[in-house]
Parts: sequence; C-alpha cells; structure tokens
Amino acid sequence: MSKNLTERRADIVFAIVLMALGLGAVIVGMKIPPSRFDPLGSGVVPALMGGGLVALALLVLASALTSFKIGDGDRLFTGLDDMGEETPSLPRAVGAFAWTLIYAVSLEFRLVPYWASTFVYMAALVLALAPHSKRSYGMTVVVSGLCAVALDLIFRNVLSIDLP
Amino acid sequence: MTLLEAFAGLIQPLPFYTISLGVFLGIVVGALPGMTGGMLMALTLPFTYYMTSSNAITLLIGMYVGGISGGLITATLMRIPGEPASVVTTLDGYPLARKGQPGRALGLGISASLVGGGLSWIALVLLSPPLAEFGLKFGPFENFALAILALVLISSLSRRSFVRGLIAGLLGMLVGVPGLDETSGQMRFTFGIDSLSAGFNLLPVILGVFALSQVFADLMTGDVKVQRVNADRKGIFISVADYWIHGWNMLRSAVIGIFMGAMPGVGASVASIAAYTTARNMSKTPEKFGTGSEEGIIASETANNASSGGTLIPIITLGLPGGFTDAVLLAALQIHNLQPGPHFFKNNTTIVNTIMAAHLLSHALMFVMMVLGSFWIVRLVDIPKRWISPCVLVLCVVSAFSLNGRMFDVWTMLAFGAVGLVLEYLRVPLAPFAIGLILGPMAEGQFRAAMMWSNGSLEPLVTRPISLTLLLFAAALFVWPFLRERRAATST
Repeated sequence: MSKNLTERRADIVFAIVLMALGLGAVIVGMKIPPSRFDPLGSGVVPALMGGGLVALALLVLASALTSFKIGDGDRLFTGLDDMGEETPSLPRAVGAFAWTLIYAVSLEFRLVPYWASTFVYMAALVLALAPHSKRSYGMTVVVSGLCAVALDLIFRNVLSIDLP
Repeated sequence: MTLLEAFAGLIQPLPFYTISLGVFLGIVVGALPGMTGGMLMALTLPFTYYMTSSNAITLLIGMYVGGISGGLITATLMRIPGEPASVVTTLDGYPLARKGQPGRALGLGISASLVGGGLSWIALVLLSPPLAEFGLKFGPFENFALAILALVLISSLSRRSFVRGLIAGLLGMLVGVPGLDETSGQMRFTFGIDSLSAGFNLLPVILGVFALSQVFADLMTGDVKVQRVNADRKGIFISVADYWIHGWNMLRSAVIGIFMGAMPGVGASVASIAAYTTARNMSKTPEKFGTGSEEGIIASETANNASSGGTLIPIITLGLPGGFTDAVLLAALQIHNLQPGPHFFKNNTTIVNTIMAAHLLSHALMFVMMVLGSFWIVRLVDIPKRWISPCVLVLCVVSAFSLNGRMFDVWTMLAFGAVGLVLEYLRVPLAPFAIGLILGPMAEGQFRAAMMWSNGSLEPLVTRPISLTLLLFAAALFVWPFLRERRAATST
C-alpha cells in the first residue's frame, strides 16, 4: 500500500474521530444550563470549541477525499535525513508502551514494592532493546537495580513522597 | 528587588549551584539527540515543588538556555543536531570541523551563542517594561483577542499543516475544560469521574504528550550510527578581531532571533534558519555556505540563542507562551501560584528580575561550560538509547505520581502519551496543543468575563481598537494559508 494511500486512510479515520469528539463536546456543552451569575453558562465555550473541531475535521476529510491540500507542503526542512542509519521499529515502540502499562498496573495495585517493580520494568526493557551477552545481563542488573533503589530513596526519604 | 540585587542573589551558593546544575543538564540533554531542553524541564517540574519560586525558575531558565546551546556540540562534531535549533549549524559546523578545525568551529558557535544571548538579554530588559505597560491597557476583550491571535499565529507558523495546527490548539483547549468551572461553580465534562473534578493536571498532560510520546517515537528508530570528528581544542577561543569581523552578522542575527523568539510559534529553529538565510544572501562569499562557512555558524548560533530572550518577553509581560518549552516555563510559574502577565510584571519584581538575571548568568555559565567541556560532553552521545529511554520512562512515571501522590496522574500521562504518538503519526504539530492547553482556560475566562461585562454583546470586540487590531491580524493569518495554497495551485 502506498504511503499516500495509507496517509489518506488515516486522515479519514482521524477526521471521523475528531467529528465525534467535536459533536460530543457540542452536545454535552449545550446540556449545561446557564447559572444566575453567568448567563452564558459554562458549556457554551466548550460547545464552540467542539463546533470548531467539527468544521476543521470536515476540512481534513475533504482534503483526504479530494487531495485538496491546505498548508501541507510547509515543511521547512528536508534533506537532513542522511544523518545515520535509522531502522524504524513500530513493534518496539508498541511493546515498550504495553510494558509501561503493565508497570503502571503493578504500581496501581501495589503488587510489589516500588523499587522491585521499577527494577523489573527497567531491566526487562533494557534487555529487550539491547543485544544479548553475559556482559549486558550483568550491566543491566546493576544499573537497573541502582536506578530503582536510588529513585526509591530519593522520593521516599528526601522528598517524603509515599511511592506505591 | 532591583536587577542588581537579583544578580547578587544568584551568586549566593545555593542559587548559583542551582543555575549551574540547570545549565549543565541543559547542555548535556541539548547535546543528546532525541532529548530536548523542554523535555528535561517537564521532567524536572515535580522536583521544583520542593524549591522556592526563585530557585525553581532559576533552575528552569538554566536548563532552557543550556538546552538551546548544547545542540551545537553534536551538530558540529557529529553532524547530529541535538536540538532542532541547531539543525542549520550542522550545515557549516560539521564541514569546518572535518577540515581539521573542530575547536574553531565550536569556538565560533559558543562565542556567537554568548553574544546572541547577551544581546537578547538587553532586549529583554529594555522592551519588557513598555510592553507590560501596554498590556495593562488590556481588558477581557483584548486578552481574549490576544489568546486567539496567539493560537492562530502558532498554528499558521507551525512546520506542518495550518489546519492540523488549529486542530491541535483546539484539542489542547478542550483538555482544559473538564472539572469545576470557577465562574459558575458548576462541574462539567467530568462524566462522573471524581478524580476529574479538579480537571487534568498540566504536568501529566505535558509529560505524556511531549516526553513520553517522544521516547516512544525514539524507540521506533534504532541508535544512530555516526562518525565523530577527532577532538582538537585548538582555536576554541576566538580573538577580538573575530568579534569585530563578525560583529555585523552577530548583531543582525541577534535582532532576527529576538524578533522571531518573541513571536508565538516561531522560536529558535526558525530564527536560526532565517538568520542563516539572511547571512547567506548578504554575504560576499555565499558559495562558501554549506562547506564550512564561519558566517553560517555565527548566524545560526547567534539567532537561536537570541531567541531565548525574545521568547521570555511575551511570557513575563503578557503571559503568552510561544511554544512547548515556553509552556513548560509558564506551567512552572503557575505551579508556584504565579500568573505571568502585565500585573505580574509590575507586582512581582523579585521573580521578574530573577528571571532576567538568570537569563544572562545562564549564558555566561553556558559559555564557560561549553568552552571547557564540549569535548567531554560529546562522549555522552555514546550512551545508547536502550539506557536513556527506560530511565526517562521511569522518571516520567514517578514524576507524574509525585505530583499528587495518586495513580490517576500516571494513567493520564500514559493516555496522553498515546495521544501524542497518534498526533505525531497523523502529522499534527504538538506545539499548538501546548499553547491551547495553557491559553484555553485563560481565553475562556476572559471571553466569559467580557460577555458579562457587555451583557452578552460581542460588539466591543470590534469597536475597541486593540482587540479589533488583534482580531484583524488573526483573521489575516487565518486566511493566508488558504490564499497561498490557491496561488500555488494556479501557478502550477
């Protein structure tokens, strides 16, 4: 699938989501009654913002469907993309995000002490990103352990924050 | 407190160590590709809770200045602009370094940074009082028109599409909506979630959209393989004659930088491009640009550092942030219960003078640290992303949690991290999002105050000269991209 087609499809989905969001803001905003001291009401401005979003979403949709461009060619920089070899890896980013969610869940439910969950989170993430060797395992354990304990000590003892 | 007293206060041990630490960390992070000064500032915000307002602002100003300047090191020695503001510096800095003069290339950039910062400090000190005085004439209509203008300006000047810039701005404004409405006392857009009754906290949103999404975006690319120029400090101190030869270029680039910095949405990157292009157009040897031209390095580095002072002018006098980093600075002030604007400028002379003094002192410290440590700092780039990214992620989580000691802020940050990543993928610029987030509540409050004052009439918006001028300017900026596209379409 060409990049152009993928971008256009993404734009269409984006426009639909924006329209839903904008319409939601309009509907919820208009439901809020004005108060005695504020005849305009606290829902009017969000409703106006929602209306603006719907209008802009329509422009994005029109642009995606008809190839009508609005300021899309404004990139100031091109040609500096030969700075090095880059290997895009979407799975790596998605995997890291999912792992961060699991880390947050462990903190939310206080399954293990903060330092332990942070150590496991960091070590696993580093190992997932690093080439594996005996040396890298050792380094990972030492650095992750030091970071986790240091953060725990700083936040709990110095800043007096009750970490999960 | 006078400006002189503010300087005296900053050279006391604690403030001095604070600002030195800020500048050092800023330079290091500025030199690291994928990390920006703004990101560092956002991560540092929770720690500033435990500091006095003056020390907190001093630390952040140090990081701000260091962050802009640090990009020069890797741009010159490795052809990697650590910061977007140093992209143009790579064009001449790296070739000059490759010709066997890395010290000279760095020296020119560092000296130009100092001059740019110094000149922009003069502008900050001289231009801020009259602008704040002018700002005192603003009522709710003018303030509302100003917020609209800032939003349109940053959208129209964003690197990407104007429409997407506006969308980002509106989305940012909408994020500021949920919670207790201070004017009417009504709860709105909370959908029964108790944690939302105070609204979204600024910091988790900023950390999520800017820091977290940046880290995840970085993880999509592997470590960049680079060829570094061998270290040679010779020539890092430039002579007085060099200052004389490049004086006009420095002055012109500084003026461009200050002006660009003061305009919302423009900032250091565009300032350095504009100064570089102007220098090339006015040069007697334009053919040397791109091959190691000293004029090119001077223009770029003077302008990007000059923009730092220009940026601070609208922040402290009108409360207008120009971009993401400025939004973080403004958020820091708000965290310490300081609301920048004309009244802030007049009534909080201690903080205002501390900001001004910290700006100049940061540049002086930056000069010393970069001259002494550039060739050491560049080695930090060897630290692979697999170490930096997990550390930043852990810091993001703990920073968000420490804000109120609740996991809700961590979930907020993660959700907005995903939002930031999706917006990046959809080519939606993120700077207008930050501006919308900061200016949204202000714009709404001013609009409703204006409506109450005028009994629901919009007429004063167009009958009061200042608000009319601001709105006309905003309208012109709004129409301009459409006309430009139309003209481009008819000419092809």
